[in-house]
Amino acid sequence: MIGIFWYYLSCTVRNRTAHQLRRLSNPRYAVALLIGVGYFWLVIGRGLVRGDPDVSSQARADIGLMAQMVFTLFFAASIAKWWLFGGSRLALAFTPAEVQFLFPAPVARSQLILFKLLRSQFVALFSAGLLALWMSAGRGLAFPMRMISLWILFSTLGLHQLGATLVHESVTSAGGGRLAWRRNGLPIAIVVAAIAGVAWTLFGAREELRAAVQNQSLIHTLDAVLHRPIPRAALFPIHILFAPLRAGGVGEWFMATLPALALMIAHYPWVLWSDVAFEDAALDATAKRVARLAALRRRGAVQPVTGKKVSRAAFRLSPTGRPEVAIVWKNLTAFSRTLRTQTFVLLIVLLALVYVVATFAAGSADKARMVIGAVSLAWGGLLAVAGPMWIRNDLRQDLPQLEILRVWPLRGASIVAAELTASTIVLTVMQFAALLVGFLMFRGVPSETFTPAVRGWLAVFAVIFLPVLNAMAMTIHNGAALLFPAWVKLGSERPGGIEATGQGILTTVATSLTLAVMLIPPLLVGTAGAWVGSLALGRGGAALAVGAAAAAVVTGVEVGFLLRQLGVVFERTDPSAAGIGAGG
Amino acid sequence: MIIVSSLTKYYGDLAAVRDLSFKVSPGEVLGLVGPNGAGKTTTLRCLSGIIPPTSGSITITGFDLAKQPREAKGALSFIPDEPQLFEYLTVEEHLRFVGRLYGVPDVEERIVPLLSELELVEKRGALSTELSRGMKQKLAIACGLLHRPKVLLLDEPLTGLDPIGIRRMKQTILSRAREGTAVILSSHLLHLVEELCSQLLVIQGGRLVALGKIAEIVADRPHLSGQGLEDIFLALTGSGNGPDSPRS
Repeated sequence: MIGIFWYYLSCTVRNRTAHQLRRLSNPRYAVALLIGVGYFWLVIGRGLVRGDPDVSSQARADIGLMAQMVFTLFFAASIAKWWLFGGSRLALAFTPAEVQFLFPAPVARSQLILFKLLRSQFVALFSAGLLALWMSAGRGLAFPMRMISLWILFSTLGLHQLGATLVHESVTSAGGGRLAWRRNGLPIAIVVAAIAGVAWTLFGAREELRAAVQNQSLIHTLDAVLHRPIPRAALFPIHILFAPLRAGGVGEWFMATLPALALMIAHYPWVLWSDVAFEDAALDATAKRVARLAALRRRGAVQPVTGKKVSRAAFRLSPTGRPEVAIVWKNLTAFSRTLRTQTFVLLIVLLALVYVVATFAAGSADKARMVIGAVSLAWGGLLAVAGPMWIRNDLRQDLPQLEILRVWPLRGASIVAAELTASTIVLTVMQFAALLVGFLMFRGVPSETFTPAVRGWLAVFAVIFLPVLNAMAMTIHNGAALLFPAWVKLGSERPGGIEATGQGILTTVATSLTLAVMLIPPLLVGTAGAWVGSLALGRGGAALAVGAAAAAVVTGVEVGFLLRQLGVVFERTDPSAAGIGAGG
Repeated sequence: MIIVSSLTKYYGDLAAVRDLSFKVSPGEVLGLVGPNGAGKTTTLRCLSGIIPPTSGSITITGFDLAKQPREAKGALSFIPDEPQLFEYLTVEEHLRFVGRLYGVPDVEERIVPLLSELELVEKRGALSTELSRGMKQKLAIACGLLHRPKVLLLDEPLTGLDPIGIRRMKQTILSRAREGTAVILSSHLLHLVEELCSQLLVIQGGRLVALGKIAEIVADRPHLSGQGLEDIFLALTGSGNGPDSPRS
């Protein structure tokens, strides 16, 4: 059976690659590829990021240590989530064609899982290669060793997620009976014990951590605490996976890779065994199994919650008025219906956790408030970069239905503008909320630099500039989808899983660079505006607001220009030639 | 009224539609038939403004589709064979959405009769993802009919419908035609075409093979006299190897 799977996957990869290469006959794709290759050659090939000479080796080591700690805790949290709440259902997702051909075929379910594992390796290898290329720009291990280390890391975590999801689904399927809970109970108990162990150790070390905050040695102290027996045992598997990436030489890397590889290999039979156990427990007919898995596959994509009462629309849509408003209404309604209570609960729990940890570490509620304020401000900043990738209720969602969009009695530019308005509104509201929390948390905190007046003007700056900045970012992301539909995930399907990191990196780099280039004129004009403002109004926040207004106007003009151009592209795009929507 | 003049569409070097001219008057139902790859879908896509033709002109109720696209599109409706719906909107919200797009002030008054006509009243609050294939098709049809278009373009409209739905759909098409709508119906179901269409347009290889009432087409080809539409179709498209085999 592996031979058949291999045939299908290798043909798919070969034909897909050939198809992508054929696309390069289109000048648009060829130019984009040249720019991309040029960028990677400049940045990585020429070593433009081989380390800032001004950054000391100590500072670099600190950054490395902090990054490793952050990723260790992130992966630990992810694993805990997979066991406690179930993994991403993308881990179980099959394509419609795979369901149609493989599920009714005489293929055992364990073989389907094997197929799934085999397929994920292609994505994991691509991501590992790209990330290794990126990391090789710094110092340390050579590219092949980094790539192998990252591949083991991604594969193992992907396998673990799949295994945890299978077990979790088997519990759900078995209705949470005693047998099911016996199977799921042990891992849950281990996860809960690990969380409790780490939390207890951190609680016990609160004085040390508090002192470390005062001495600005938090990273090293936290690292030391996390290497104490209980946290070390709890995080042991993740440490094993990270060890090859920390190796200083070939010998050390080899010795560290062996246990990591063993851990990865051990996952294979475990995942397959979970599946067999599931089959034993379920004792279901083949038809039922197919239906259930088909349902799982459907849920792989982001879907609205069905079977429950549908939530109200974003606002009441009047039957008359500008038709563009209907598109904004549709997209805002779509966004509101993808929100889940779980997200809000998680956010509140996280904020509470930050507050508790900060109170212990800082020793006072005031400082804890500042920590929460800083986290909120950082979150607002992160949203400016990552938000346009997360919030996609715009053309990226609707392009598969381009045929229908093209029939609407509207100009192309109007449709494009209306489509990305909802995303811009959502992103801006989220940013304002984060900034407001930050603003309130820092209220009353004395600072020579950030006086109340300066803070007020900074808020004015944000209110003026953020909406147009977000509109620009959304225009770039939607423009990328329209110009390069073959390179952008469209529809409700999201590139998912740890192994799909590579695509995320490419998207981030490409769109961030475009945004940076587009922001040069507003920056220049904004600076000039602030200078003129300072001459007229004196140095201070008022001049900043003038600069922000000038920058906002230029950004707005740029957005308008881009929308006009994208409107033309929209009107000229042939859905079937671009590979969008239904063919025929 | 639809007036198509010398419509030609190339995909690279491939001519999907070549020099196609015809017109459909208000109240007429034109059946667009042809074998797979004949250019039916491309023709409908050009007529609905989804893709621009390489050359030629299309006039919808007096508006040139290339020069006055908003006015032309406002008067037409295209219902594709595969219903394309928004997964986060309910049945009723789809109609409100379309109502605003096309500026229908009395949308609320039109929703219930339309949903009744298509037997969707009970599903008015359901998300499109909760509908069966046939119901999705009905919703797509309801969306297409809401603004009472003067031109209706239908691509395999009966796909996925049950027998009752098929009967209702036939009645719907005929009633719209009686109200003065110009209808173009593309389908492989020749009995449907025979039953509903007042005119027939047969294309193959992107070229017009025959145009007119079935009786007129047969009158021009006496050897087809007395044959059913299926045989006529086979003869016209060359599958029957008769004297009417089209030459490329």
